Amino acid sequence: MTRTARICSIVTLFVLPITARAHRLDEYLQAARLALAPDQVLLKIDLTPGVDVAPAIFALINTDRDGLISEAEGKAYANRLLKDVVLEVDGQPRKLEVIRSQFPSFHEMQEGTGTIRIEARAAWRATPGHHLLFFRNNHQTDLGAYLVNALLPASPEIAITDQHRDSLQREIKLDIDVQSPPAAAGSARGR
Amino acid sequence: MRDYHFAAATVFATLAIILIPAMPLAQVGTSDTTQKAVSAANSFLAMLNDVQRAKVNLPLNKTTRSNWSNLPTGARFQSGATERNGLKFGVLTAAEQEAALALVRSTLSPAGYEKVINIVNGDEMLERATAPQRPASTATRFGRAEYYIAILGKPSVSDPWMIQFGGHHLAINVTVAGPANVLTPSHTGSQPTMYTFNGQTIRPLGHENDKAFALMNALSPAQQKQATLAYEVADVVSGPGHDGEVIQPEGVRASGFTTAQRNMLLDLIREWVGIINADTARAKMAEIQDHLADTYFAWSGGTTNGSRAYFRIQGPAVMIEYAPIGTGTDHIHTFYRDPTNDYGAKVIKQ
Repeated sequence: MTRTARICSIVTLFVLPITARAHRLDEYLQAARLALAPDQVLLKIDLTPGVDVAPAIFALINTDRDGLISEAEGKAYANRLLKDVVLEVDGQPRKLEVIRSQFPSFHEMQEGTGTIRIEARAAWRATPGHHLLFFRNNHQTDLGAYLVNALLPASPEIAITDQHRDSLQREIKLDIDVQSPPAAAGSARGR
Repeated sequence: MRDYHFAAATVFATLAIILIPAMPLAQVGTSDTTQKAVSAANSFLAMLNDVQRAKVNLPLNKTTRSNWSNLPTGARFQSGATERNGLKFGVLTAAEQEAALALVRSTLSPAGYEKVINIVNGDEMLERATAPQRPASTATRFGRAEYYIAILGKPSVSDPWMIQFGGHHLAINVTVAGPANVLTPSHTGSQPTMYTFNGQTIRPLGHENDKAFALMNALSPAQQKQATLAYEVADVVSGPGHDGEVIQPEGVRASGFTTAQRNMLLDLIREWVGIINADTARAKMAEIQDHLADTYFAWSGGTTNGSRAYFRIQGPAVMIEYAPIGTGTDHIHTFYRDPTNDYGAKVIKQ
């Protein structure tokens, strides 16, 4: 049999049970990454609602109920998310500001593949010495499944020396050493 | 937590299905792998009409090369695109499909090609099992017809170009730059994780699973403690849309491994690195071995084979993640990256 013929051949197949598609349907996956730079902490969060909770999440965002997420609605939701997030450096709260946001359509969210992407930044001056960063995501805790990771700092002066998370990855504590006065501006790896 | 159950999809049934035989091929990579790939690419392109060729052969740039995904057809991908690059198998003739597969095969090892085909065949099963229960309005599509082939750039023995072959649970991205063939970033996954084909049990990612559990169980209690992440991992962190991101390493460092443990770790890594042709894989493994002391192995989940477990291997020149998706063990995503050389960054200066 030629290879082409083999490709087109109909074969008999015994399939083991495929009982579950296994995507989480009733959870709101929220994956956060933190990037430290000499002048800022960058936060990126990808939020993917499962199909069962997508209508409720969409309703939270689409407040005028027209089926579309307007720029104003997106901005309002991003700010609402950031209000649910705690970011502290050395015990001091840091205010996060939205840099950009991207929202999927309702149809995409209904299919369980629509991901909301939000980026925010908080000012922080990386002064020499030891620092402790604390991050906690309190957004939609009744539905949330969480990930949180710190990106390897691009600046050679900044080193993450230890990290601790809670068992659900809602929060992370980072021990940070800044070796010497970094350059005035810099960016974290990942851009 | 609830998973997505397809009631009628419990199929001990016999399905008549069109599958691609994962025949072994005497296509071990050699120094002329690039020449073979160029010949295969040109042969495939020559079979297409102008419209098809324009869809398959796209420019190589940051936008096109990063358009790959773990997601099935019908989703908006992490790149923002709603369709993969290239043409899908469903619109190609059998001869064109074979030419496309010959192109894919030209840069891979026989075992790597077999793994690819086992993933495609597994997804065909998923399509057959789930399609009857899917609402007509659902855009999601699985199966062999939904795998796409694309050539980015002009096939050349000297200038950079790229082969992309992918669909649900598969993204083979091979950057070709002169004699260099680079497989990162790439994605393998499977659902179901086991099926029977022509009387043989197929586990597309079975070696990855088994070797990882064997390594974890070969560690001392102290090493296991270091390797274990004290938190749940709900998904991967290095998937599509995360180009250039390198996370802070965690887990146990291989610098403290015994020779046997190091060999087990290398053997596990080879499951991803070895998808590419033998010459390329050998060079890449040597690079990883050089940095092995700075390579971390991290684990979250049970340690008995069959348990639900996530693991990560992270070193200066390698990042591998293996994650069960949802609540069970029958749906796996894996990603393989090189923080220093994704898309051939070291060999393409752009």
